[in-house]
Amino acid sequence: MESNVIFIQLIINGLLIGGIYALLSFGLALIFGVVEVVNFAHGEVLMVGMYLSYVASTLLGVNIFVAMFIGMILFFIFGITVERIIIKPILDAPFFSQIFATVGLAYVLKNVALMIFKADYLKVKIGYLESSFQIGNFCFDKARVVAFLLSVGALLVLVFFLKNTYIGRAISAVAQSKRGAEIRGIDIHKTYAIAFGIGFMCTGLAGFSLSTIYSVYPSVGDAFGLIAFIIVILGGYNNLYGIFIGALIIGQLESLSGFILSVHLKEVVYFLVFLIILVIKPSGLMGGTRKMRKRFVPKNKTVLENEA
Amino acid sequence: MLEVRNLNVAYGEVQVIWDVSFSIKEKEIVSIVGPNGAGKSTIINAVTGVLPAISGEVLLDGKEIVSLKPTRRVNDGLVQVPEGRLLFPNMSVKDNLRIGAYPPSARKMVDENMEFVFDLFPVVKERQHQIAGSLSGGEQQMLAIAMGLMASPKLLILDEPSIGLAPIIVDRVLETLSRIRDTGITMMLVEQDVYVSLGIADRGYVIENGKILMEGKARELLNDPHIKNVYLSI
Amino acid sequence: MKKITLLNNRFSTAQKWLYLAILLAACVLPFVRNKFILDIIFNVVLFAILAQAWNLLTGYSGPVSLGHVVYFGVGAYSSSILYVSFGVNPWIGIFIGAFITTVFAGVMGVFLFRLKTHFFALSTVALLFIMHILAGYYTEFTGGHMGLLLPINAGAKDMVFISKMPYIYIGLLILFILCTYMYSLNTSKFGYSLIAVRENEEASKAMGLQPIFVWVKANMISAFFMSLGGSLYAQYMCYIDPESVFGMNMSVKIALYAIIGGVGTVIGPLIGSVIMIPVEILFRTSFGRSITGLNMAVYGVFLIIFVLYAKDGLMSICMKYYQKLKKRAFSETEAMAVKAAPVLAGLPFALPQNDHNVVLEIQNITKNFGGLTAVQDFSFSLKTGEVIGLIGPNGAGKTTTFNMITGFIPQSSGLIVANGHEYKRAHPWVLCKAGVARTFQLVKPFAKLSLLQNVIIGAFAKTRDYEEARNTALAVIDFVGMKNKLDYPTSKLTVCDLKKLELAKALATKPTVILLDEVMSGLTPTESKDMCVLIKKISQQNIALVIVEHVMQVISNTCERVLVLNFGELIAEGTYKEIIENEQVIKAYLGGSRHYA
Repeated sequence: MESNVIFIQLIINGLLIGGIYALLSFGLALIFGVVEVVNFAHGEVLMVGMYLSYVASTLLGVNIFVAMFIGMILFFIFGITVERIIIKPILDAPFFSQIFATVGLAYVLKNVALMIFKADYLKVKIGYLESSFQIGNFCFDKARVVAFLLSVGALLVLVFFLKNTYIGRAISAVAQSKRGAEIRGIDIHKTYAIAFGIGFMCTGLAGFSLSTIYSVYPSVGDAFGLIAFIIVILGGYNNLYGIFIGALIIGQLESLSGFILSVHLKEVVYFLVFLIILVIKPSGLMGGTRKMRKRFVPKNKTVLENEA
Repeated sequence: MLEVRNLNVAYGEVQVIWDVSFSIKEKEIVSIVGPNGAGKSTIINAVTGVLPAISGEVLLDGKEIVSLKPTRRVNDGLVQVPEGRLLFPNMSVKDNLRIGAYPPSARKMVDENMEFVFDLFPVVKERQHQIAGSLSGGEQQMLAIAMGLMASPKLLILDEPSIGLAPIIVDRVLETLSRIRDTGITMMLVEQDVYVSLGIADRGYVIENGKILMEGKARELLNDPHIKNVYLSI
Repeated sequence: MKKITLLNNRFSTAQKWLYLAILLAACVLPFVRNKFILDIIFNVVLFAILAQAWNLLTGYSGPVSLGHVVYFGVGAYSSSILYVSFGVNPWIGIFIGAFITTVFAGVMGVFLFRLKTHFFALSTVALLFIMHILAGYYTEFTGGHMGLLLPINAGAKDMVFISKMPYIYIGLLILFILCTYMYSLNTSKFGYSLIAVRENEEASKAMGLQPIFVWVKANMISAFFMSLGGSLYAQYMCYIDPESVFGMNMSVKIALYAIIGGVGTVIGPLIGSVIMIPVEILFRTSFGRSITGLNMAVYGVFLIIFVLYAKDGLMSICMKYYQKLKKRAFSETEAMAVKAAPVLAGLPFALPQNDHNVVLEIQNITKNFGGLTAVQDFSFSLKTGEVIGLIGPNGAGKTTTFNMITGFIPQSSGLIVANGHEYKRAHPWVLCKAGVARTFQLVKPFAKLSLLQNVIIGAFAKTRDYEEARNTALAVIDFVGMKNKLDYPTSKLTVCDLKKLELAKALATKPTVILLDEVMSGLTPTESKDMCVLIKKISQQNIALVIVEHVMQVISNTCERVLVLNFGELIAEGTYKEIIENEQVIKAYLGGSRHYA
């Protein structure tokens, strides 16, 4: 009986963390799906969110929800800024430039954090969230539950936004057919910027959520960033439901394997799974039928060449 | 409605359109026909602003639009139904229509336009909640035209609407275009298929190698034996 | 203007200067006593090797390997474990380690190079992290996170020296060998292959190259040198741990040094290392000690700035000024090539006249895309020197057929028979070797090379020898009439030139049949006429031609036989005069006979 309880407890924990992972992956998928750029600094954006949460709640004593709200706006601006300054100039450049631009950003963010906060593991203090409550045999961590609810809430808002507002639909449209969107009067570059803004916003929000559960340190983005990549690859970068389910599955894997395997081997398992999925089915296990872009097709060009 | 004067267009260093002039009056259907590679799509690209012209004037409703960005032209009523349809396959039909209504000037009319479009295309109404990618070729073409109409167009440009469609479906599409014309929308039809386009148009222009070779009433052009020469280069 | 990376010369000026610099360093070294400066020099040499090795894969042939340092680590651990746990002498162990790493790189490459750029980059990071964690985990072998210590007093026979100098000499030797190898790529088939697959993967396939194999080989050679560097590092420090040899920071650094200096050049990575390492070490000792992370943050900024504004590095900036000074578009060596080009009446490989030879046969090929049949049961056969046209209205299936015949998409059923072999699924490189060549409608020149170099890539399809390839290329360029533009970079060529270049590249592969994909599009009528003359000239060399075209004059001018496609089926076959009278053909082009009241 005991082992059953533990098992289910692990599943509950896995689901709870999975919700946050879903929000985190969503930010990555949005950017990749719309702008078709891989953001190698994704984990670092998350890290910034976690540090912001720490600074706001623990250093400045601001209510975490207020901080989150302001943080969302800041991250939106952050995303748009990165898109304009770093991404836009290299949309047509060889992939080499695109990769290193975001790698460079990742290093700047990570090391600035290192410079400011040192390598210490910092914990966010939120008094009233530090307890847990019981339902039946099972223990629920308040922090995890709140984080889960927040994340799922944000996801629902986003899905609603994407389906029911003009800008949201424009984003989906650009992701499916750039030229088609352009012809219908959608400004592609503005849409790219908004996609980045929203993507960063999701990631920052996920950072706030995660900070209530995990300690924050400069390299925290490495592992979580990788998890986001795995989930996006697993779920298919154009399939939101796939990503959500993928996130819950990874949450489970994390929860269960953390119990069974040692911490270090767990990470090896992740990386191996990642590699294997990449090699077997690069478009994701649940991914749609969207064609993968060829290696040398310029992204910025909006005129089909040689129609004469 | 649309007036194009002395248009010259190039792709980089290669000039492909030479001194082309044509006009489309209100409530007309004008066809531009020509063999493949004649420059039909290039003209569309230049008129919609996607490809900048070297020289020439393009006037929409009397207003010079050459300096306007493509998205602005769409908002002004210059709407294109692209070759290959370019729908959004993972969205529902209704959502596709809503994208058609994206230009700010069209958003106010979205409900009325949708009713109008449902009336014209019962098939689209029937399948409004289906995913656009699951529609047949003919249905997709109908949807594409409907999307164009959602933008409250002053001038609707149709780029090769008959391509890849079976003759029966093409007939149905043409029927609908007739009805659209009856509601007072001006149309520019660009087609490779001479019978399809000249059959329904009021006037036509025949283009070859980037130059206008013939123009006149559609019926007269259709019966002109020279057209065969143009297509088969005799 | 971009730096042209391949120069045809025994020892180019840059190469001479490099060897001089290395020689000078080697001579001056014994007089340097300061340990701190010696340490800097060692690091410069080590990173020069690593950055150069990385440059071989990413700079020269394309795939962005972010986690490349994994091979450095595998090499370091291999030789060290062999030494510490199995007593293998490092002088031997360094090569065994290199062998292990090379095989490892080959195996990884076979799987990972199938991935598209971004995913490939991600996968190399994943690989690096896996090795990092494993190295930390298997403590009995590797010493885990505490690291592996090598005996400091072992002595020269075990590659452990008291002074830093011998290490630097070994490093210089490795660097010298690596740079010599890189320079030799200028005149080798492999070197040209690297640039071809980098510049235009699709076009390279049509030139007989198989991109994955090219990359795997480059990865293996690169890993070999990374491994040597790793083992040398282990011997120098007498200590390695997962963080120091499987560290992502180091991976980014070597990429950064190569980028700053200039990827795709031999000297670039060296310049990057020579400039950046002393700067970093000095910076670190002045400020960095108090602020951890500052130097990497600055590196991040450098990376962004260079990638945005100077992605070809300092070398390309220097070359721009150098060329402005010299006021020449290109090097003197190519000018010499122009003078030396032989004058030939025709191609040096004209095929024997033999009317009965069928050079290409297409048997009942069909292509289904899901529920749509794009091409249905299409057949034809082609004899030596025959010129046939393939026409049809838009959407008739011409492009699909073309891509099937040239191996770019697989047929759903049916056979392609080329050079006597039957193919159910033929890849472009296989067909190229079988004598089937093609041009691309959207021209695909190899961008950073000259006209001559472009055609040489084609010539390498049928030979391994540089001299032979070059002679073939020269003959072909003369044949198509572009002898005066031998040394032009592709950016300087007109549209008509580029179309002729497509033909030249195809001709250089010594084909028996060339398929032309709308070669006239974008040409003026005069240029079209010239092209027709050239096409006739080619067919007189007994090379068969399949011409897919819209421009009817060309078809009537050049083709003996015309095939008409509509809705994926062959609807007419005959001479041009016959098919234009054909009712079905007219209907297909003008449309069905609908009449509206």
